[in-house]
Amino acid sequence: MRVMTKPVTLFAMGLLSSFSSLSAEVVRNPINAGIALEEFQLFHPNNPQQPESYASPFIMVRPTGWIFESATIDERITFVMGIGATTFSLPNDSAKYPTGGNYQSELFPAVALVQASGSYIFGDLKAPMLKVTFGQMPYKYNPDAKNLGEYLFRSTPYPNTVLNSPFDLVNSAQASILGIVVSKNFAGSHWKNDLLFTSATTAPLYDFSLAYVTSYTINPIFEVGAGVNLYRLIPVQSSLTTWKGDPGNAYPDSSGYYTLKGQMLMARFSVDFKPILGNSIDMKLYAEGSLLGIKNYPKYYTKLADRMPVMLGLDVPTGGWLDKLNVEAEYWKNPYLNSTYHMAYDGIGRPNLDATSYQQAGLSSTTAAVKDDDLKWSFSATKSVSKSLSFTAKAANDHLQLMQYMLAAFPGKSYGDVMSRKDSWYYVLRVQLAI
Amino acid sequence: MKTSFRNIVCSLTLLAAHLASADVVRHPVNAGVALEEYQLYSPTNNQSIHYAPILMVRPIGWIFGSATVDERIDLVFGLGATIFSIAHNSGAHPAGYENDLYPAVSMVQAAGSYTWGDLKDPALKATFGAMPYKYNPDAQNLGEYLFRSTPYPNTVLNSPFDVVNVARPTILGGLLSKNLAGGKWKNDILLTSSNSTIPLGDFSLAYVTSYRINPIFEVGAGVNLFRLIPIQPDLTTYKKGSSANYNAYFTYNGKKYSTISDLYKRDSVDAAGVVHVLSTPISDISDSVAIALDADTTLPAGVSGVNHYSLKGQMLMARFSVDFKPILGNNIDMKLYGEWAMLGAQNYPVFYEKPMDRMPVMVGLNLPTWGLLDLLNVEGEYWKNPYLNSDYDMANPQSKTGLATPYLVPGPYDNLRLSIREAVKTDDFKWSVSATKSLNKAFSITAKAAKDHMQVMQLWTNHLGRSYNDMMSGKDSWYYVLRLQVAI
Repeated sequence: MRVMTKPVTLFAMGLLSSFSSLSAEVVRNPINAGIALEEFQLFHPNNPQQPESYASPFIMVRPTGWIFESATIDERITFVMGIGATTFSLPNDSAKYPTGGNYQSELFPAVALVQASGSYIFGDLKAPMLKVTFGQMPYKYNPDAKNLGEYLFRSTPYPNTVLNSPFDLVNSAQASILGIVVSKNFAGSHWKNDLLFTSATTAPLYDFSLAYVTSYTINPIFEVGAGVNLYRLIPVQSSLTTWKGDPGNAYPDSSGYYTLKGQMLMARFSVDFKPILGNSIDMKLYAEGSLLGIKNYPKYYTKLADRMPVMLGLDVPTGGWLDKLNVEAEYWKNPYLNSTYHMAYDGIGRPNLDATSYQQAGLSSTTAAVKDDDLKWSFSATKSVSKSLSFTAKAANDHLQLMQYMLAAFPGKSYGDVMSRKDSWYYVLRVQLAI
Repeated sequence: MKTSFRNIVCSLTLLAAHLASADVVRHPVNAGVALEEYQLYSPTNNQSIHYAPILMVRPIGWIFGSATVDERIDLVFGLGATIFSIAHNSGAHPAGYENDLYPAVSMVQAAGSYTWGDLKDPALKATFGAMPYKYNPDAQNLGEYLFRSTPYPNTVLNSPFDVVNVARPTILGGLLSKNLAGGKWKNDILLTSSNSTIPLGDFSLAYVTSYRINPIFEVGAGVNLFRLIPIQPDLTTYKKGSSANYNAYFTYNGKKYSTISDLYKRDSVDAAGVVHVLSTPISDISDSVAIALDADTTLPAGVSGVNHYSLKGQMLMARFSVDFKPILGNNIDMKLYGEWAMLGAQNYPVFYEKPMDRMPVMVGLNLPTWGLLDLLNVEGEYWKNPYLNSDYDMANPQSKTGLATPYLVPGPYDNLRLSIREAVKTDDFKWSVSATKSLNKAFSITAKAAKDHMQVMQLWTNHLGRSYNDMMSGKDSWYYVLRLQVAI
């Protein structure tokens, strides 16, 4: 015990001494700001919750703007504060005139805090002993993923869901987390490690999850990564995380109740062909697989393979014509609808089995396996015309959510994958100017 | 007429030309982020029903741009942003809107000012716009009554978005500042427009002063002529319209009564929630007067002196502080301070007959920590107000309650097992303990525990809105908050 005391004391003294100066040196970084204009069109989207089908094709145009302020204080403390803004509309029902009563005739403004984070670096600034970051921030552990993947922080285990934010069509392969990240690199930064303590931003709100994400760059060609998310490990209100107030959340044999808690695993790799084919050949193959809930539960969660999304991506060389040309594909056998609706609204851990939702996805029975959404795909291409002006084109059948009209309520997210039909897909064209 | 118009045009042209060639000093951007984790214990909603013990985590960010033009003109523009969720009732699963996080981005300051005379000792300074206004520099949580209270009904409420740094209302209007006696005597005249409670836009005229007697003692005082200039007088003194008939009082047999007849019917509520009803002649008279006022028909026999309550009122404030540093030494950071207010100088029949009921008093103490903390503060408040601390009826006149009467809906009282005739005592005493430690100029940690005048955002029938009531009204209500902040 005595042996342990000394390093702890030294650590504490070091921490205090690093904070000792009250006359901080502040370096204000240049403001990061930008604007974009997106035009996107949805073909055969399904309406995850409502009895009415969306109109198809459905086209939307939206501006996006953002401004980020950041500063470094005493070289060790960094903060970033960013606000983003856009407008959005709601898809209207098929063969019906959009109605004001359904909010489908309006454009709505959306302004939000997109990042508010602070960090502190311990030890050497170039090779930190430890870095602690807190707040709301984007978190991306798979640097290669453009659209699919990044399962660990945008999935839920029970029910099994993977959903994008309803506001991101481009750059969607990142999660926004609320909490604390402790980062520590080893082996000259070849081995990266993050320990995350996050607070849930989907219902039940604020439950705490503990996660560990690691990656290792074996050589300039190969990188591997893995992670675990002990999802909702510390519930804020246990009764909500394992809700026993609704018979619909009971096991079919009534021997227990489904819980929203679960453990999710992830593994990934990437192969960069540049060192083999030459610096002008920008080609990378990468993949990510996940197990969304390691534990089986009666009836709906009996097969591990059903809870394993796997994605494969390829950066295709363009000989410098484009910044990036990317193809991604995902297979996820999940036989149920990809929907968080009953989790969010009723605390139900079993899959969404609403007949209406099944009909919207083109199925006549809730006992049939949902197969049309098993394969997802994405193509994207980006070309920078100058340091600040870029064009992006993307086509995909992914885990898109939308803002939509909710019955007798104000617009909300769709709580489900609107690309669940056999022929669902969309494209986006984006012009971006950013500094 | 032609000459004066030409003069105005010339003046404006000169001013525009002057501003075009103005010397502009842009100040470094002031920005920051914070992460707050807070937990509410036994919070109560507008119906006095306990919400589930709520733990919330929220990020906050802000950015302020400011500049000085020609040394005399200052402008500040600030945006703040956070996310919020809404509370749900204890024992129930959150429904609908209670399951989501919502973004909130708002303008928190848009103010301009002009300084006349010597820049170091101005003859006058005029400020206009939306801005935080803090006349009690010592108050950490409680106090600051003059601009976050209403006289009729008697309420004191915090913003639903501030859990830390709450003793700082935002005003909308103009402010003239003049210091005398070498800056020892400070004077502010404020013309503010009602921005937090309806009827919106009413103008209030206020005067706030303070005098530093010596390095130890400071005293201050103020008056707020609340809603002195109503925009729509028929709203500020509500006599006609839905439920206006319950905003009245009358004389019967030489005594004053309210048109809220429940006051004379509902005798008591027992532990099981059963309401014991009285049958008194006066409740029938009260009902008849309300009906007559609503239908504009003849008043019952013997009834006279019908009048209506008004939201207008005069609020007074006095405060003091004693800084012990000059006595005990510079390393003993100890300060005692207090603030008193009278929320409504004038008595009105039935509900506002006792001035003592409208007098919140707070005392605060900064405790010495010998440099271990930036601030360790304790505050306590006593406010005898016998009614629920809610401005719901001001915003939402409803059946059997009046606009400027106390919030007397039977439901919340039934849930408290009180008749609306009985005094609400569980919220008379408020307290707050807070500690802040700066680890350097930019990074600070704050811990706070309190039972104060907190509001939250909550679900209403068709919308999300502020709770309109003091969430910390229950006997066991309190909350804590932990906050990490990085700011420049």
